[in-house]
Amino acid sequence: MTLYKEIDNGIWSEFGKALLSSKGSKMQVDFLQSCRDGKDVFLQYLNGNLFNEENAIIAGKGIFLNHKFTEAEFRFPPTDTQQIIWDAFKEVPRQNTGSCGFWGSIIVDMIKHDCITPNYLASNVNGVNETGFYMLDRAITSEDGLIIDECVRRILRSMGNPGPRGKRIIFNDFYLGKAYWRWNWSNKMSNKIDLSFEEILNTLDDKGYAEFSGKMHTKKSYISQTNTFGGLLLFLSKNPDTLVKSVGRIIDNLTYLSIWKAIEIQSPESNEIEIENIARSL
Amino acid sequence: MSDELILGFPVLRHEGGDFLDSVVYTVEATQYQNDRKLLITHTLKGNSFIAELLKSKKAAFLVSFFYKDNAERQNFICDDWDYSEDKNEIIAEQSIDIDFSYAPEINPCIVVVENETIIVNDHSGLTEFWQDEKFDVPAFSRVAYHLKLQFTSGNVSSLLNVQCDEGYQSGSIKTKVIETAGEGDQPIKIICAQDVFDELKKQVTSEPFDAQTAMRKAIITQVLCHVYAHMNNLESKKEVHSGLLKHMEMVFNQTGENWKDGNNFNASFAATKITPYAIDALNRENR
Repeated sequence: MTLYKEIDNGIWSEFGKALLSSKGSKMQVDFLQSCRDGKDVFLQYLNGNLFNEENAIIAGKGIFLNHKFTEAEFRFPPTDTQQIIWDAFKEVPRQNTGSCGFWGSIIVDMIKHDCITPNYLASNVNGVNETGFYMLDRAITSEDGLIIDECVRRILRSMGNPGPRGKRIIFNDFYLGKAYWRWNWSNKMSNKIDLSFEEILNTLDDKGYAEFSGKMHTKKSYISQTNTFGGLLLFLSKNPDTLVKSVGRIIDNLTYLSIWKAIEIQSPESNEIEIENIARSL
Repeated sequence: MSDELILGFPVLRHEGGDFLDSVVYTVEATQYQNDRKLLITHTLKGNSFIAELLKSKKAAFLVSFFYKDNAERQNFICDDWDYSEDKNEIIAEQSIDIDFSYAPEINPCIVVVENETIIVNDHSGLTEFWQDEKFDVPAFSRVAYHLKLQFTSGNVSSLLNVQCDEGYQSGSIKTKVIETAGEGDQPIKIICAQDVFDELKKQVTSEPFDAQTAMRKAIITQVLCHVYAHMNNLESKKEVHSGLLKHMEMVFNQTGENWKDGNNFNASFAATKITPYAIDALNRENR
């Protein structure tokens, strides 16, 4: 099995936790300032506070995402950029693409190779002009510990660090991971059910993917089984409004149903009918 | 009726009716080839309607893997088996690759693959309570479980994490419950004194034969009843660990006590109303 380069997950997690241990602390402000001051200072900060730990990097094959991102593109990768991300990582085993340390190493290398600049990590470009620089300046000059902490959290999330929300962060909150996993599901499911890759990708739009991912990686991972998920996608492709309204309750009911019925081995088409019945009874 | 049939194995209400003792479903999992493969061995002993369904290919063995870190689930059906007339048992083996660097949680069962109607007779493997009863078993019903959480055998190890604290006074136990523990996590943490820990580590017999073996099994049952009495008072159970909730409901039914009786409810007394649980796997490696 090929080993891939990654940051040791324990050390990576401790780095994030230490930064989040005190809201508005000097440690947090120093971290933000290094991010504001650009590539060299930020990498120097990481060298002094993360990579100074013995065995912080697990040596292995490196993956280089050779693409220079714009800030908005990094925050919300459009379809063609998602394709670039997928192409770069499609051969990497799922265990690595599910690892925070793997993605952390990728982000650091992207900064080293000028594919992104550190300020992108703080970006909240979301219809308003909350660029990385704006967010950093706002936090660094703030006396409100919550604003400083929030900015530190955003940067850590953008690096795939599990400190803010645990290791499942890379499936949804971390931009590259989210793009990769959405594409991965669409690719996988288009070989299982009678929907095209594009149709599935559309169903798993930003809102839909967030809903599924949240369930799959918390306590309702039951739906991540391909026959079950296939049934859901078939149902939602015909009933898109349901996604917004009641998909959460449908998934809850599916989980209860699975206690006595092995729907995981029932065909996606049969599960679609099962789900229709559940939706009607809600 | 069919709901009750498929909810467990043995499946029926305590003292109501059950499978005969001669009907036993066990599963063993062994890692091999440098831990890159898992050998799953299903064994169903005794005459039962489940054995007949398997023999007629109307049921199959199923094992589900859950790789926790990736929330990835995989399912493997097996309808190829050997029958030993001497031992009256059906044995099936599955050799499955492990796709990650860690072993998955393993969740085997037997499923019926098409709609079936069963009329209970002398060969159904059920107690007389159900004689001549007619069951409709829908396709894909799980008619037999062997979870890590095997309620009726008393193996509740998947719910419990037991630790020894040498500083504790002899005989003392402290229990913490994390109701919202994630899937695959052990929501109940038992911290106990060395002497209690040693007792829990000892092999448990299926039936207690003296005061000490009875006490050994009763410890866990009491802990569980107190945990569930606490959980019963929670306002919302929406986020509660699914395994814990499922087991809690089963314990409620088994004790026949009124768990909603607030301060008058005595969890220790309720624990005496059911066959005691024990931790079967505590002494295994990596627990």
